[in-house]
Amino acid sequence: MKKEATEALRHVPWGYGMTRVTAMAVDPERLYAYWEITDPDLERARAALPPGADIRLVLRIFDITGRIFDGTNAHHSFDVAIGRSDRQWFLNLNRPDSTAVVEVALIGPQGSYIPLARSKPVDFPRRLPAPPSEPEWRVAQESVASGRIPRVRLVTPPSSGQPRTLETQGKGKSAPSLREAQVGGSSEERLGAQAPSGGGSEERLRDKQNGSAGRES
Amino acid sequence: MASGYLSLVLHAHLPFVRHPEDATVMEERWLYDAIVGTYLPLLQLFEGLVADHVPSRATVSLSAPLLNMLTDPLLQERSAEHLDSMIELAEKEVVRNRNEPHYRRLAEMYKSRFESLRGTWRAHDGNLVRAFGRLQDAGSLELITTTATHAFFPLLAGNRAAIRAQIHVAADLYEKHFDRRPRGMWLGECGYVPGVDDFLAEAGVRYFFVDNHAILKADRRPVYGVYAPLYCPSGVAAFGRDMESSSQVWSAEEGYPGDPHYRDFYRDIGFDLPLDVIGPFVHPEGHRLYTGFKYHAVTHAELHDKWVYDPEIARRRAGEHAADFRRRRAEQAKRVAADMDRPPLMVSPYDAELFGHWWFEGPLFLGDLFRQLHFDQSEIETLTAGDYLDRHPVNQMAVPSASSWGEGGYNAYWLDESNAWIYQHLHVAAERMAELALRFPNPGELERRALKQAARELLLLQSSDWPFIMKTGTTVPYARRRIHDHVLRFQRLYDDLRAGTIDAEWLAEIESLDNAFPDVDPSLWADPESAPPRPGLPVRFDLPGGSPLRVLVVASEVAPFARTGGLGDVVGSLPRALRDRGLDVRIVMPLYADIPRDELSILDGVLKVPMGFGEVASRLRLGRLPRSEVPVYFLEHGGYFDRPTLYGPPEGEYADNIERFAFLSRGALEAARALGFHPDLVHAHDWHTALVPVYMDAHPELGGASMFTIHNLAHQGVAGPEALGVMGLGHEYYVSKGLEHFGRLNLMKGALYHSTIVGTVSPTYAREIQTSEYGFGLDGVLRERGSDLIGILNGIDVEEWNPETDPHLPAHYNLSNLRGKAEVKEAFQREAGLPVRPDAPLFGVVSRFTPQKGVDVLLEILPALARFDLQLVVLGNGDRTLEEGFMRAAEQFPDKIRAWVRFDNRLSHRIEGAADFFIMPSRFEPCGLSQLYSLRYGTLPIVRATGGLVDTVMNYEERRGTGTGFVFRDLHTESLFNTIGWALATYYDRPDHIKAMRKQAMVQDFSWDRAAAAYENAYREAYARKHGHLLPV
Repeated sequence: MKKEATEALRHVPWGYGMTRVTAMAVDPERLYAYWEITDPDLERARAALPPGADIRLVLRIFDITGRIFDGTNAHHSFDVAIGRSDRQWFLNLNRPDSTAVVEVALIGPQGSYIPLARSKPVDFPRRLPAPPSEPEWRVAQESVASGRIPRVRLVTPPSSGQPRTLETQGKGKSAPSLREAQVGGSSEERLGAQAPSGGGSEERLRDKQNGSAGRES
Repeated sequence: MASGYLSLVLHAHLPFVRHPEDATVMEERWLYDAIVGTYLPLLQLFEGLVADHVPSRATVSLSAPLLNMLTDPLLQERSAEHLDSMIELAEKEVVRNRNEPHYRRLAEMYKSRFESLRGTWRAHDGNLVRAFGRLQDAGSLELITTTATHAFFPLLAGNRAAIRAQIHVAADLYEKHFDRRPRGMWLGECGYVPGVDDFLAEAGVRYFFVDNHAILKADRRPVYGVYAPLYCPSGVAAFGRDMESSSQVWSAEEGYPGDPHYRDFYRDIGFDLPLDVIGPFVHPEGHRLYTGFKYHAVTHAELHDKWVYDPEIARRRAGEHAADFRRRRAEQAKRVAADMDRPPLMVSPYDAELFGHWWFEGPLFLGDLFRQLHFDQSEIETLTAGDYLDRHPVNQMAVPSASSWGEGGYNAYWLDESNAWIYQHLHVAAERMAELALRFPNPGELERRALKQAARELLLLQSSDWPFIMKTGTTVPYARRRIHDHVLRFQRLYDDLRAGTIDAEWLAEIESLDNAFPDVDPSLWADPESAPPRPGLPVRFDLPGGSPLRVLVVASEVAPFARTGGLGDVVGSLPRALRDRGLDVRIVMPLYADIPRDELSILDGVLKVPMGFGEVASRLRLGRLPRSEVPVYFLEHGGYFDRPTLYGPPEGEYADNIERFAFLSRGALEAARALGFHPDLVHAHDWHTALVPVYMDAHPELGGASMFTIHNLAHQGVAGPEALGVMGLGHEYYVSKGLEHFGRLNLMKGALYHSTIVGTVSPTYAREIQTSEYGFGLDGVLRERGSDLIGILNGIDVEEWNPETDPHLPAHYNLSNLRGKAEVKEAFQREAGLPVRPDAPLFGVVSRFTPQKGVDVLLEILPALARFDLQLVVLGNGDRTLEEGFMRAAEQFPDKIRAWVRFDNRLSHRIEGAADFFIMPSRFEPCGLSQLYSLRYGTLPIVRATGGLVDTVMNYEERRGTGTGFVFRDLHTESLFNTIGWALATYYDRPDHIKAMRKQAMVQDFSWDRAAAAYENAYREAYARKHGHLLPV
């Protein structure tokens, strides 16, 4: 196994020699970004700044919810100062149900801004359920053998084939679920009476049978 | 009729672990333990239900890595050996405990259990996959699988090829084993992001599972909560986990498995017995491990003082728990059923390994549960997700929330300080795999093997198990080693493939080690969007300061990106001048095939453009108008714009032009909306964007003030009324004061009625088009809108056309020093092969050869003109007869006439500079650019009094010696001939006047600055008319 041994001595690369930044959502509130900045790209950016000593490297986080971002049209943005050797950051954005873009940039005197890289947009899931609305009922139809694998698409069934909605079940027109949820005993409340989100692996037995931490080989 | 459905899903999964090089890798034991602990017992359980004719429906997911491992001969062999060794250990334990009746009883229990399990193993020839397949065929189980290596989709950074491949590789593997496509698929850790389901649909998968909050927090509130599935827009159904039934089994505090009488997992003889006894059954180097042999009951939370396990009591408890479980489900269903039109569905997914391996009595619980559900009650019916969709095909449509069933409900467990470092490698490897797949569409033999192995390494790298282990902190060194090995092996394959230096020996070795997915298809990754991004910064532009007037310009061509004539020149120049005045001008145009992509950046996001037949998905790219901060947004749609020419085959039209440009018109407005850009005024040009003001009226939310400029009145965008459907406009727009013109659809007419103001490119032309002679059938409409019609003279690009700096001229001159012009003329005469004579009057013509330009009249009088002492040069193309006519004249009079049949920008500059006079006998001329170039170059135009020519050329007045050219009224041979004669006479008789006229011509300002000021005023006027108040300045 000579070749295996050779592999064991090598390390995974520190970076890949390209200036770029990638952003991902950790959960509805938190953002994670990792990046790489090559020396030549940093030098080029520095050279493009007006002269002056006040130069900082930043992450600029843009809120671009509902928009196609063109660099100028974010709703807001804010900066996080980073060091030259930083490669990743966890951030509390606290903006569920939004979309963000991250740029790595050099900021110079008089606020001059030279971007080095821009991430793809990141969507943050919602924290709260969507407001009540009229359900859209569909049936899934398979297309007649288009190629080896039949494709499915949704069609609207005739109204006779549609289940009654909460409204038509005579529970009243205006936001019945919200009102009745406060009183208690409404259908929405019952249907919504599920334990709060998540909870798969934390409850998994492999971790905590008898409350003791798993002792795995 | 049942009042509730229960769908039990057993998700069996282990990461692909296989070490032919070393039989003592501890992590490989996960498989043997799971086979002995769970898979064989579950098999026995379901086979027992079938044998006893207990109808039940449950779902078993055999993960794709498991499908690989359970059918791998080496691992099957080692599993069989493990079974043998367990029996051997049991026999030893029976002997060792011969004097301890409680323990001996248990040892005998284990012995007979393992022997029974081995019997089942042998009955199926060690092929558990086939065994489960038989259960599916018998109707007892619905079998599904997971994605290829149980990857965690939310953290793959949206790489489409990576997601698609994980799904298709698994579906193909499933089909290989079970002869059908999987109906459902288990996403790794239920990790879902919107859009994943599109790839599931593509693979023929019809449902998947998510955690409950994915349903409860879908983009539409689910009226049935988690008790019914949702259809994603792709048509794939999402089933949400029921938390009540889940916590009854999973919960560390209240879950059944924690019952004190159940067998304890942790008091294992692998740890309890001395090494000289247990040595052969743990790791050869003495590392202790779980043998699966346990004698104690849970009893309490501590490890000491545990009861000896009593199987009878535990057996009874399992039955009691089963009864409890089914009773609670019945109560739960009853609670919810009143609000639903169908029985509520409770989906209860569990890791399969829970049953038997972790919770020894789990299979007994399940067996009792199914039997009780069948024999003891009828409120709850067991069925699978597939059954549910067959029975209840009508479901609510919504997009589930991105989510997972991990701790916290999202991505945190797989993305924290312990494991975040891996993602750089996963993402780059996925991009590079796409790059390889694109680069080698037809690989040779060795390349093909290397490509497939690279795909395997990538898939194995993407297992969500590695970051999971790092976070849990269990076998971290092993997980790190796997990441390390797969990253390095992938990188080496990538480098070797690109360099053409594949080491066949090394490749064979890796193939034998990482041998999952033998038939993997590398072409699954061939997606340009998923390949590594081009280096380079995104295109940027600055916004003007203050609160500027916001203008959106929409056109089918913009110089220098696309240009077939004057329209492109105007739309490529005016915005620059407007921006110089501080307006926030932005342009939208199509992304044609010939526009180089290098200077453009892709804007992430799908732009959905509503058309009559549905929504068309497209994208935007961003560029900049050269020498300015004006952004140009390119509307990208291959189907409409990726064609050899802009409008159609040479001298023809594409059949779907109305649709293409309806798409452009609507798309531009939707783009502005998606960008958050709310223009104060939208400026459309010519028939291609004539629908813009119509759409603005039809959809006031897109709307505002508009201006429509006519450059070419001859082309009006005419079609049959059926084209309305494509455009998404109702019949209320197909009216005489709208889009209807003599029984046809006429887009330009629609614009003339719907636009706030109408413009054209010279004041005189604005008057002319209101007459039937020049109106091309629309003069009535134009008269009607006369008070809203304005003619603004075009400018020219004074940097590109500047005799002082023109790089195409051999010498330069300006207003105060005209000597250079004589040099230019001399050089040109030489270049043209004409007699080099400064005294000979030189006439120039640069034109398209079309009826509009009137050059046919010039051709007719050429023989007569040739009698004079003059020189005449013609540059242009178009009508064949005219081309040939000019060439013949040149042959006939070689020392007087020269002709070039082509389009040649550089030559046109030299002609404008060299000539004394420039002939432009247009039949009609909305503005005219050539005469403006002439004037700038001190070349005196000889023009017909029409359109912009009237507005720009001042006729020579002999008395005062003023003027800038020679103008005639009627276009026929006589008047043209006479006017040229008049110019000649002036040239010889009044050279002082000629010189004065040159200066008068050159002093004028034809820059775009002047036009831009007029346009800005027009925009403000339009805004005021639309809104009833002025814009703040």
